[in-house]
Amino acid sequence: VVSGRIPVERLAVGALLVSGAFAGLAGGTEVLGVSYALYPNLSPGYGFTGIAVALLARGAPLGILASAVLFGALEAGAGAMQRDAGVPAVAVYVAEAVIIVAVLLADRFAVRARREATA
Amino acid sequence: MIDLSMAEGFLSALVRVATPLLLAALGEMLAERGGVINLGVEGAMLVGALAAAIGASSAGPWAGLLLAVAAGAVLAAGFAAVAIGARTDQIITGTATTLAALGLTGAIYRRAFGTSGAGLSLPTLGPLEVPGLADVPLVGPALFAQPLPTYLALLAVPLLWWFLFRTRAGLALRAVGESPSSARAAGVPVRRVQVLATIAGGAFAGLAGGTLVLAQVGTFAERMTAGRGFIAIAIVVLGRWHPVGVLLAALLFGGATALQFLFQAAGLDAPYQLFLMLPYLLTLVLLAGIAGGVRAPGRARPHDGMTADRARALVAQLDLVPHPEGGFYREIFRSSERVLTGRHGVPRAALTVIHFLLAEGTYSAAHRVLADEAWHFVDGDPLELMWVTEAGAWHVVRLGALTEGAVPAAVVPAGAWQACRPLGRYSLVACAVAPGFEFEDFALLRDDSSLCAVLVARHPALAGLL
Repeated sequence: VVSGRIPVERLAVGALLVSGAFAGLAGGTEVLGVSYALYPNLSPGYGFTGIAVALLARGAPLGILASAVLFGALEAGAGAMQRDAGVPAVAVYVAEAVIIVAVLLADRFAVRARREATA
Repeated sequence: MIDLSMAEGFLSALVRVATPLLLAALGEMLAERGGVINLGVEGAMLVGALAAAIGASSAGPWAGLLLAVAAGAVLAAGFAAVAIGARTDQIITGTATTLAALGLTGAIYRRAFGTSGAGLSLPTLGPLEVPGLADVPLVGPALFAQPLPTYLALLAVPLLWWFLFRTRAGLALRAVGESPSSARAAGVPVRRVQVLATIAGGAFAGLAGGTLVLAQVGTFAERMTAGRGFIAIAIVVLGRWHPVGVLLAALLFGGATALQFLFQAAGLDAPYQLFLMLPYLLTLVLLAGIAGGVRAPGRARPHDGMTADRARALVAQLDLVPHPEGGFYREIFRSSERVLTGRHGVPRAALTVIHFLLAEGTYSAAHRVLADEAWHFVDGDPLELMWVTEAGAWHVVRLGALTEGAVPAAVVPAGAWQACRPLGRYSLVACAVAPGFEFEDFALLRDDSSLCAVLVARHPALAGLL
């Protein structure tokens, strides 16, 4: 499909390739800069959390910086929470889900309020 | 060499692997038939698995199975409350649902059973042999010596077919998925149907998770569903949203997974991890090949890009180009007859006609044309057309299909300031202008700041359409 002379498919494939390269970079950084070791199941679900980070930021690059730092802080804090308070670290995923849903709902209500204001 | 017992083992493993996938995929199919994509199905399987473990460890496997169904339904109800109740993005909400389930199950499991990793041993559901049939060579053990959930899953296939294609409720569900606006016009409570289908789908996914724990593994582990929920979503696509298709796709995936047991039994000298890849590789290839270009039921599925696809397809099909007032257009007729009127100093074509497309999030900015313009609804959702006549009279019209309770055509008189916005996902209209349209006769309200301020103050609805 070509509309407005933009090669849609070529751009989509290109974006996927670049996206995969970024994910590969993340994996390489994890091995060469963090764990200094390669073992099965190296990533404790970073890829999946990455989707949540991108969704929360609505695909805005600067927003991703903010949401990645937020989720990074949450997950780092979760380890400390488990050590000091005995709360299972995985509970942090619930917090992440709640943040995402809260942002979605706030957004919906803002849109509705704006619509009512203009109507 | 492959002998009979190996072939029987292969088929049994195939059906065993396929059972939870089939259950989860049938549930997801129900939701998607109603126009809801629930990416929380992975999470519903997980909570079902943990609920099964908790129920079985305290009150036996049957209680575990029931608890699994209930847990899956409850998680799906949570998803439905947000995604359908508040109309949030289904993909993001579904992802958050699975994320929440990951955290909840992990935390509850560690609280309830500790983190020793010693492994929980649970009472399980043994195979129920159908007398006589279980001894049939080759297919007997695979089809007639399975635990109860396998029979439930196989029975659900014809039952769901009957429900979808032979009952009024099934018709209502499909109508909701295909065209929510028509379903609503026919008196179907759209959102209630979607919520019920999603909750039923969650119950299936919970049962799938419970099956994994109670009929197969006999224990619970964090993240034990390991992406089966996502595979189930792929199976729904491969099976083209049809119960029989979903059954075949689930069996195919089960077969690809069971091959590794066969190869290992046959003494094939290759790393087993290679065979672990096989079913996923197969899914990718099939999704790209056979399933490439299939359309989900329902063009009006919210937030999955289908509508954007439809609008994009129309832009390509009708060769539309961007219009200065917003949206896309193409002039399809210009009369060779010339007319001269008092409004125009020079002759104009007697009539021009355009196709005009507005997609969700866009609008036709307030403008005026020095000729009468007749709007005719063609396709898509209704739009709201408003104008202020030169005498200052304010008009608002819902332009759309008669079934939507809208008017199919409306005329904006020459010189009136007009604007419009789509009320749904996209609207295609045909606009006839007589005497014919010329951009010299066209003006945007925002370019005349003093008049703009006056009109917006008088008609605030224009504020968002400049």
